[in-house]
Amino acid sequence: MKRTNAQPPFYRTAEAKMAAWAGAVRKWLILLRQLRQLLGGRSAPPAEASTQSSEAESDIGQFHAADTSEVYERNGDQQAEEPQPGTAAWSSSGGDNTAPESFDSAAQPDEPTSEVPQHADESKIERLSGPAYLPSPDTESEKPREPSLPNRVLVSLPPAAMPEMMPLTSDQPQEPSAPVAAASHEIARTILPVPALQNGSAKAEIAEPAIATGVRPAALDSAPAFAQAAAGSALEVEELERTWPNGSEPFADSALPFIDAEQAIARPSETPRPAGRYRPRLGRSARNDNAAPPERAEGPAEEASLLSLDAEIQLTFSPGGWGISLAVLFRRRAEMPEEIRVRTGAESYELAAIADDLFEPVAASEPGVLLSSGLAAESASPAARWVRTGRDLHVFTARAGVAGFVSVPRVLMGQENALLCTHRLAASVIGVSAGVGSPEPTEVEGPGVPEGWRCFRGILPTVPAPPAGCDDLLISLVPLPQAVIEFAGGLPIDRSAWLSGYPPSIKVLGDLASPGDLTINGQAASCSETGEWTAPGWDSEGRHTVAYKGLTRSYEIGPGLNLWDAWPAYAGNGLAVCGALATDIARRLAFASADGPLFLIGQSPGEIVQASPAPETPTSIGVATPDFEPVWAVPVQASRTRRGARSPELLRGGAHVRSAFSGKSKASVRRWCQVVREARQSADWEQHQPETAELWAQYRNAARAIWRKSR
Amino acid sequence: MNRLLTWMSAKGAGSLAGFRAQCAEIDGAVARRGSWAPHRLAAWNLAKLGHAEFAEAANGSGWRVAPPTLAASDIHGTVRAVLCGARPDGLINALSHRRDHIEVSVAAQDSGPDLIGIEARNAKSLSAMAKDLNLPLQWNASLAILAACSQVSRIPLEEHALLVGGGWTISRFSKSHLRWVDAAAAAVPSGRPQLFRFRGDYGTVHLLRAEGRAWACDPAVGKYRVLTRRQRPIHYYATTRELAVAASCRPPALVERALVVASGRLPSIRDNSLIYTRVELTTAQAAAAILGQRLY
Repeated sequence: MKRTNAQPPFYRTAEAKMAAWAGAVRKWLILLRQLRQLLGGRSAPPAEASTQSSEAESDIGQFHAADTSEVYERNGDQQAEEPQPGTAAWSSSGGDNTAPESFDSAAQPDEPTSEVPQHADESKIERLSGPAYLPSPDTESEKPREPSLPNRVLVSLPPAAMPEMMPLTSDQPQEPSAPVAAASHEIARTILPVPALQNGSAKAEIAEPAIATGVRPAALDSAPAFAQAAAGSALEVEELERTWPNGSEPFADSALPFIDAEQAIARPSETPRPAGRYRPRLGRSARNDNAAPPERAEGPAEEASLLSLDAEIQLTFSPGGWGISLAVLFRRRAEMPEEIRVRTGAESYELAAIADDLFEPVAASEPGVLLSSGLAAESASPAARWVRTGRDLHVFTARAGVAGFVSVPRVLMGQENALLCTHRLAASVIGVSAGVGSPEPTEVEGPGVPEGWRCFRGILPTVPAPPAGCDDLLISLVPLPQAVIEFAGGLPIDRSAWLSGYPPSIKVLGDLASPGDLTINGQAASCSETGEWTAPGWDSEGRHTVAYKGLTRSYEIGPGLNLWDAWPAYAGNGLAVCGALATDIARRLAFASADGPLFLIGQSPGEIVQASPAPETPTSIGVATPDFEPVWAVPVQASRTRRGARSPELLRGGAHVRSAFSGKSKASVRRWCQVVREARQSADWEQHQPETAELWAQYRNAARAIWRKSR
Repeated sequence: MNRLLTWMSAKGAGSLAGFRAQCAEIDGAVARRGSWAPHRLAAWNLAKLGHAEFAEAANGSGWRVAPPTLAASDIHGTVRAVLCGARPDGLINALSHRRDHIEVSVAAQDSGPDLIGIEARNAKSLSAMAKDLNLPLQWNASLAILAACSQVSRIPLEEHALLVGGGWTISRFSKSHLRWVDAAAAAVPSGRPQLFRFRGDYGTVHLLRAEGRAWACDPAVGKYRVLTRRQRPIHYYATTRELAVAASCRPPALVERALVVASGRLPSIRDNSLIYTRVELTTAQAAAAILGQRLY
């Protein structure tokens, strides 16, 4: 199959034929999968147009495209300029098999641009990656394909390979221009023949940016076929077969873009395909940028099985403002399980949900890589993929329910924002920050700030409009005007209820509220330097209502629980344990002693119980659960005749002996008397504890009297 | 973690999801770095310290805070107690009121709420304070908890089919090395009980295997069922009143709680051992007896 530089006819009718071609491609992929199954499952997994579309997601979820529509976008991305916010070409409707709703002419792939090398062969190769290379559905897709016929699948190259790019020809070194260089960080792709995949040797990855910009991976140099193509040979690139020089497959996993969800489950150790590079596409329309971005299904066929979600970055400042730490927060759908196993590269984590829309944070092992190259993670069950694209500017703001700051598409008015940017952008960032009315941000240095990056906090924008000449890349520093009353922090004890002493902080986000605009319980509120609103009695117990420009929101301050019951959390040997409390089944407090048997004596004669080891326990712990409140603990050895024996121990002061002992058995009364009579008083009592000595004398006199009467 | 415990005290009980969310908001500055999530560590530590119960012990799922309790030492001489369970602000304020013969101390500790310790000149003083505050006073709390513990060798285990098939990473607990080793010899029959760990994508199963049969068990229980006195995982230092347990042989939950409550401090790690402080000899002996070990 020969290709020329002539414009393929389908380009002129691209919109009309996109859907049909997408269907054709999908049919081929299904056929390819079936073919692979027939061939017995070689090393390369079957193609599946499932995981491609999330590579270069924006964090607001505008970008959704797959299959052929994505090919369009990629191609256009490389050749032309960055898409402008609001153009439909970059915010397709999400239909997998549908073409973009309207195709911006500026991004049309068939328009030559200055960035595209004029080298004939390069131009030829360039179009291989575009829709022009897709066969016409009229001629190919409708007839059954023989297994031996060459087919094409898309393979990707992770951004990690980009540093190894080198000029295609030594006499034409070409530096990629800025847009193209940016595009080159996107997952690139090319077309490889099906037989190559079938026999397991399809390991070549020819980066589309490399093709478009005249650079390619250094590792490809040894590929004779590619060399031929580069030298202007008629050999078609899609026919290339290639094995990596050392026999290894550096991006084996990432080079297989169409990972079937079932296969992903069957290969839990597989490294997730890397994330792409962020391109600013923030629209100017008013919307809640802090809301969880919509989840994207990878394609119609995989909609139910593979989810594409965003990963956020959590930024926390070390005490004293010296140093930071970064963590990754994985977005969650409400119907996802509470716990999930997520794979990020070689690491695997079992994560639990911390909110309806978030899983717990995972500390970033390489913060610099996370910021610049992004992160991709996958889970097998449910099949999901998280992506955080790499970028030069990350914006953070506080979020209720998460400690520190969380990455957001835009800064918010009404609360502190922070950011991490590259050295190159720092001056521009400070300029735009001032342009939106923020005081000069504070730079945070110290451990945790990656090399080549700078961290600023204290960004408090007041103007919801971009300053003149604001670059798209910095638009995330421009807040949107969208007033919301926010309750954050405190100790929530119920929905809209906070614990007394720990009220929420009241903020107005998305607007610059003036004193007097906001009322709490009808009283004008004042604002602190940190943007928190208070009014007299705002934190007292009861219900409170906050009003601001027609918005109202209520909260309640309550005392919380003040009565806690014990329950048998653990049970054994006739005892129940709850916390540090050990009771018997009747909830009588257990008294344990390791000093050998002892008697517990109550106020009334007859109130006596012996703590002795249970017969079947291996320990010498004596346990008693008296149904009275013990006053004295009398060791059994506390006989007056035994030397060195311990004296009785007073457990409760002021418990005078009672004379009445009705209801007690005669035996227990006699035993009570006997133990009290025979126990030896401590010699120290007279000197140091006269009250104890006096109380003991009361008990002994009572015991003697009862003993005498009973004789 | 003080705020977390205050929040738990105010709520009384809740779901694990709510607990995780609060951990992330209140004490979430430390993101997960190792294999254990911060909320899991928080739950374990709060349970060890006798502040709250989790999962099955919480009367079902979720968590439940235990009633505030003064966990006291022995009744003789100067007595010491630690405050366990719920910890509302009102109670903290009441504790801070000056009383005769009572000293209240607050000490921070890593990975747990502050340790609130009370030292009284005698049992009578502590008892009077507990009565004032309407707090249950648990004398000899460590011993009382140990009294509720069954001997490890007598804990009934549920028979379990031996796991077969791929997908498992199998380890065996080595008695001689006191650690998990690759279970290449898992299939080798042994006359003595062996503890195996089967790790898969969806969970971990611990099986005690003996005489061709297998029983599912808690790993801590399983370890002490295979360990004999020769392995000596427990040492007691009478002079410092410290009990050292090999780090890989952490005692079962309730036994560990008894050892932690003795001081109110979480164990520290020293020389690859968990060090429990302020453990009386009688408590150490009782713990060793429950674990089927001898003190050295």
